Amino acid sequence: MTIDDAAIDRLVSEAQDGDPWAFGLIFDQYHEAIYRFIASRVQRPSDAEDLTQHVFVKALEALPRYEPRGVPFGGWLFRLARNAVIDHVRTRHEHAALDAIVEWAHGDAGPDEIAVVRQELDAVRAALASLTSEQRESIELRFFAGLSAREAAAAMGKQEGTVRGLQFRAIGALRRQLGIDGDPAGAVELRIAGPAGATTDG
Amino acid sequence: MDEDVQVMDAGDLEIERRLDSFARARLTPDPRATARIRARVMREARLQFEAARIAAHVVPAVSRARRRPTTRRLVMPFLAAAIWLGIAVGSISAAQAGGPLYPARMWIEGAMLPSGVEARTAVELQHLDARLAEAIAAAAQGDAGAVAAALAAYREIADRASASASASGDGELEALVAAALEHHRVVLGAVADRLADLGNATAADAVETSIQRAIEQNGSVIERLEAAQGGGRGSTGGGSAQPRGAGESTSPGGAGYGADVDPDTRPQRTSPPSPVKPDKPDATPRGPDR
Repeated sequence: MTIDDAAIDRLVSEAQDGDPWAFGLIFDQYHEAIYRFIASRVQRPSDAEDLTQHVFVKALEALPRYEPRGVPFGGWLFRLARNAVIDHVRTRHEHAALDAIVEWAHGDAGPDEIAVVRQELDAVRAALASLTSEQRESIELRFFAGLSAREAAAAMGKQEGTVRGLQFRAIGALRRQLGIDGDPAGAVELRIAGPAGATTDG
Repeated sequence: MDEDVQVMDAGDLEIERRLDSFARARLTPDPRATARIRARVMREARLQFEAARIAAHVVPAVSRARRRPTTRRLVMPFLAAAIWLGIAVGSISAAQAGGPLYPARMWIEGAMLPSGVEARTAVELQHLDARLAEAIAAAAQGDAGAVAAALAAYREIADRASASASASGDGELEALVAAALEHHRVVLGAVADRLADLGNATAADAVETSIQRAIEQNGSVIERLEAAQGGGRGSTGGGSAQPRGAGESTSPGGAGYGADVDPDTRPQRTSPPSPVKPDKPDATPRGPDR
């Protein structure tokens, strides 16, 4: 489920007025994206769980001070998440290691299929590891968390154009790493909206 | 969550698909973990919102509750002091010459006079001084009503003092009263003269009229005292009034307090005697008990 910016702003306003139901909806809207972003940067799922909870509690505490002018709420929330991850990595002397990330279950897939998927995922992991820190963060915010370029820029504290450039270069690097050739004739217009889903239609 | 429009080719779409697969497989939270996180966060949210709600209602009430005694502590003594101050100021103001309580004050002063003739006379002379001071102060402010009230009281006290002194048969006491009245007459004459110099303003005229009446009253009282002393006015040959027990009390009738004041030298409205003029009676001597 994705909701538009105006609806988010209304929910934020209601939560600022002390409505837990509104804050619950905000949690439902963003928790998976936040978790994905955090999980991509910490080693253990338990840390991702704790940090996700920590981010929302911090958001709860900071919510009265949030003003919707200028910074979109998603960007503001992911900035909290980014700072939490940075603090976590700093205190634990931990470096985000995608190698250590646990793979979730693959449902009813058979062993061969699982092996293929796992190989593909490992390739992606390796390609991501080859990116610069900023490129990787821009990819995480854009594709794992589903933020718009504007929200990702707010979360990273950079200009939107800068983030777009980082993402462009990151995608190029990933394509090279993964051996995916471009086909300009097959270019399509892609609309990306909403967190945690990267809703596409084209 | 604004909508971005990007031109992506098949390679970009493949990258997106692979990244999405990676996120779903390795970064998506376990539903149980999600439930745990949500439960903790929402519990925290309810606690915080409830605490904020309680604080919003309780803190002002506590502040009011705390403020109330403080306010009382500050306001009540201040209010009491203000009331007392108001009463005091009002009473003092009302008891001033011309004020509504002035006659009551005069009555109280009269009621509290000592019973002994000498002591009574001494106190009455003090009262005369006080009334004179009030009249002069009121004249300086141009308050004709206050001047009239003070001098009316003055005349009443002067009558009472002279009558008392005459009734006592004590020549020295009579001379003392006469000297005081003569002194006052000189002072009043000077005030009247000063007011005449100020022009013909209504207040000045009223004040001057009152003073003139007091001067005349003093003259009458002095004459009466002289008559009571039996020596007659001018029997001492125009000497100045002397204090009680001074060496010039050999004339008939005893002391010469005012008894030697000639009517012709008595201050008149247009030319009141000045204490500094040598041809006027010396009004400075006062009784030693003053």
